[in-house]
Amino acid sequence: MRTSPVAGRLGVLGGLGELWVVRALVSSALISGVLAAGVLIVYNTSNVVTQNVVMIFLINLVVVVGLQTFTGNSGVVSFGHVAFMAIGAYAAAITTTSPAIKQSLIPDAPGFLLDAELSFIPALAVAVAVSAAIALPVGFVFARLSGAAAAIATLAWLVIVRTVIANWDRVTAGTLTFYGIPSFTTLGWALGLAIVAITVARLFRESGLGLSLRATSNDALVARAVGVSITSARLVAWVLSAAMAGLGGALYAHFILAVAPTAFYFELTFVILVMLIVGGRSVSAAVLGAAVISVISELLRRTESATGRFGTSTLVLALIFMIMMIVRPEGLLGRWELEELGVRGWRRFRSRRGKPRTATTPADEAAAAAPHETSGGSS
Amino acid sequence: MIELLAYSGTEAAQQVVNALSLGSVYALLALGVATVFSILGLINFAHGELVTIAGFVMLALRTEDVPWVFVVPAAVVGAGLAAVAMERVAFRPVRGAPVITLLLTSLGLSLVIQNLLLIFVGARGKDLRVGEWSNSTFEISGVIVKWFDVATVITTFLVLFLLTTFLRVSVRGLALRAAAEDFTMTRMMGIRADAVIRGAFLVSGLLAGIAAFFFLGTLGQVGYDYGFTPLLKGFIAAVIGGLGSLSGAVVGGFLLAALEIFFQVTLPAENTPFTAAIVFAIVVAILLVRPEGLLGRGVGFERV
Amino acid sequence: MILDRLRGNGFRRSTHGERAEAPIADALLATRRLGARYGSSVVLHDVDVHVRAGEIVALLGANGAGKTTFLNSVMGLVTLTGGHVFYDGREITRMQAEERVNAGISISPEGRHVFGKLTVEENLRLGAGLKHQREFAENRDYVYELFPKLRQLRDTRGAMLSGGEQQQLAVGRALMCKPRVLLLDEPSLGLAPKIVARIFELIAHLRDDGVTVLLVEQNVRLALDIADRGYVLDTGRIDLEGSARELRESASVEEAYLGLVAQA
Repeated sequence: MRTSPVAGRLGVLGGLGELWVVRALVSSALISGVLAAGVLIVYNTSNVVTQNVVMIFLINLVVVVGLQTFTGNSGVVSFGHVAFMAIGAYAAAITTTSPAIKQSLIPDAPGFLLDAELSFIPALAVAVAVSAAIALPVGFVFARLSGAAAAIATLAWLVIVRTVIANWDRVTAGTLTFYGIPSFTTLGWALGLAIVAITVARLFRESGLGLSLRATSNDALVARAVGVSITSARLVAWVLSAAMAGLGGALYAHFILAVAPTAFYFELTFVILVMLIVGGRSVSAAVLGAAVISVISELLRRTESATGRFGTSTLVLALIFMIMMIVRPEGLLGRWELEELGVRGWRRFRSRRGKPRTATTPADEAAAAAPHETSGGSS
Repeated sequence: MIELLAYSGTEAAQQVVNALSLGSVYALLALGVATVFSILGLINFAHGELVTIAGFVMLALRTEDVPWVFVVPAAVVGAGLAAVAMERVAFRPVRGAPVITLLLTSLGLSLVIQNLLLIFVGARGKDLRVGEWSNSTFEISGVIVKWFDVATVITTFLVLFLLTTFLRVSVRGLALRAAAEDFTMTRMMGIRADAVIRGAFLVSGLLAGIAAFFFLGTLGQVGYDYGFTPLLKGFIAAVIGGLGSLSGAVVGGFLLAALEIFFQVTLPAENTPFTAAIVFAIVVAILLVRPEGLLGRGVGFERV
Repeated sequence: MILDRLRGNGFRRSTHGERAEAPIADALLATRRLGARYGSSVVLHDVDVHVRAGEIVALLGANGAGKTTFLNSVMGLVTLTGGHVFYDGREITRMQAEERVNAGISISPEGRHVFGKLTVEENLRLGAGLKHQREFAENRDYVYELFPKLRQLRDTRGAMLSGGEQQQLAVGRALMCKPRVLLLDEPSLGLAPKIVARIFELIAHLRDDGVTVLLVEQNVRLALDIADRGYVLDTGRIDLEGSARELRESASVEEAYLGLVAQA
């Protein structure tokens, strides 16, 4: 790994000094505003079943935004993201559940775990801390991998974590369901933490590290030429994303009130992956993708129960996924954030009206030229 | 370790026999995965479903009391055709896309097939009895050997011999080898890209079908999600041996079997479930340290 | 200014207006207003080249001028932005690359690209494609006559050959399908002068055997020595065209213009 300080690079690549912070915050506010409005309207006008769907959507959203932080910026697909969700979920669950229940579930656990009965905020902190702490050494290992190698390695990570959880009976109750988790997750918490996640992800994306990741996500040679250390940038993204996944896991645990290893395995991994990839690569895309897939999933689930043909929902989701890969592999929003689309639309509108184009930087022009690139396939 | 020392020669020989038979199946699976990877750079997540499809073909035919002599070739051919269909329907539209898109497409395909099977065949595994002859055994100096396992090993080596001959002697085989090395130049020989890719998928399907007979036959069952384990074993073995190298795939298969049996034998009983985790950790280590595989002949992956 | 002096020497500078209708009738291979791109950068503009049967035509130009891209476009490996490719009286602009090979256009690419893991004999066997296996023995013997060294090395793997041997193999392999047009991309690159001389002898010999050759070369002198006609490509456009003698006679100016040093 390069030893040059990242901070020095931040100055060069951070764009116009502190302006990026403002931009990120404004963008997050925009996305969060839309999100909050939508969520509150739906939540307050529907029955319990739909309210549950909204809650699950928000919890998944935190996880998807976490995945975006790593995969969306670096271009490296990680199959192991949900493993950190599991870690966060179990870490929080074990430390908040009443000692009485733990006596029957995990009687042989170490004393400090048995006695622990944290309230929500400390538990969230624990979840984030444990996930991040585990992510750091693991990230050292994975940060260098790309493409298919990273896919396999992160898949391996998913299996390893699941195997450990499923067999570490002393602490996790193994394959048995760990139940009795106190109900802490409210709409306020879920929405609030989703907004926090969006803001963090957005800030990272605009930061020097985020920029360098994005600029070099497709071209390792460019990276080396510019002198950017991809590995350290990726490591930061990896740890951040794991922290968010852990947070999501904690939210999950305190909403469903029970966890088991099967909840955090391939099925959920696929759902989260679809949400991000269908949406695109940006934070707005992650939010959009999560929303779209949540709606579709729920509709499919109702059809499934009605017709009794189980498997239909995953089938249709997988079909949608495959079609997206053919038709629009970069996702619905591609790499654009909401406000970037707005700006581009405004510029095109102005130039069509014949007004002199405002001076654009080469970066802007490249951005403007982007939609003309054909997607997928090269000869 | 004490347990290891307590093992007598017979018991060791027994484990060697087990490893040979298990390794044969893994080698076939790994070869199937490696064939497609070597030409397209694609790890086909739906390879496991080829095994399942072959299994269901066997099931369907056996329900009609078709004798095994016809069932097995039918299943093998069926898997081959399914593989070619996969290529045409799912992978051709995304040809040329970055590797990760291909990977994700194959993941989607795997789930589509699984869920189709789930919807139409149901969730529970169905019995697939190979017949009494498969369970019969014979004994050599204290070691008990199943005839089925003998058949597995012999068939595998026969298949390997045929495949090697095909690759070495026939023009199409040559074309496959060349395409794995330099796809564009192979086209410049006037050999159609489509044909080469189709050929690779066909071979991988046939291999999956053969593996399916021995794998599912030992299991005695087939279900909609039974393709997952063969897939994992196949691509772990292929990675160990060096993805992209066919000989590596075979070696990887036997190595994986040896590793699994070794852990099964040496780890205390309560830790054996961790075998999977350990094996995966080894895979990651290989990816980092020697991505071209233990034999050093694989193509390996790009690293940052 | 340089161009004026060149023009004064009596050969044409390619311009749209002056250009006669490309004589498609007697050109075996021709391109008309060919444009090509890699990704978003356009690499070839409006390229008109024609090669008559039995000719050796040289395509010259500095590094990066687009010579290899041009050959790859003729083979059908590059995305076109416009223009046409004609072969044997038909338009092949939309034809798949493999079909073009089967129709009789063969290439020995820059960098040789022999199949390293296959033996010389296997490389040649592949060169015959699926269509020419019947005449394989005959064609292979012809190639071994042209390149006796290859016969000695027939069971050696491609990766084990020296640069010169690989170049011979690349050309030999390209000949295995009995092409009517042979595209040669930088056959002299990185090779010792003695071997280069031998290869160029062979190229001339090929013409006698009825093979039409389009030769891309950085070694101007060698190329113009055996070529009948030539083109000079400069940043994706045809800049000069004329007979080999015309181009050769301005060789000293050309070398300055192209920034090349004459090779011994």
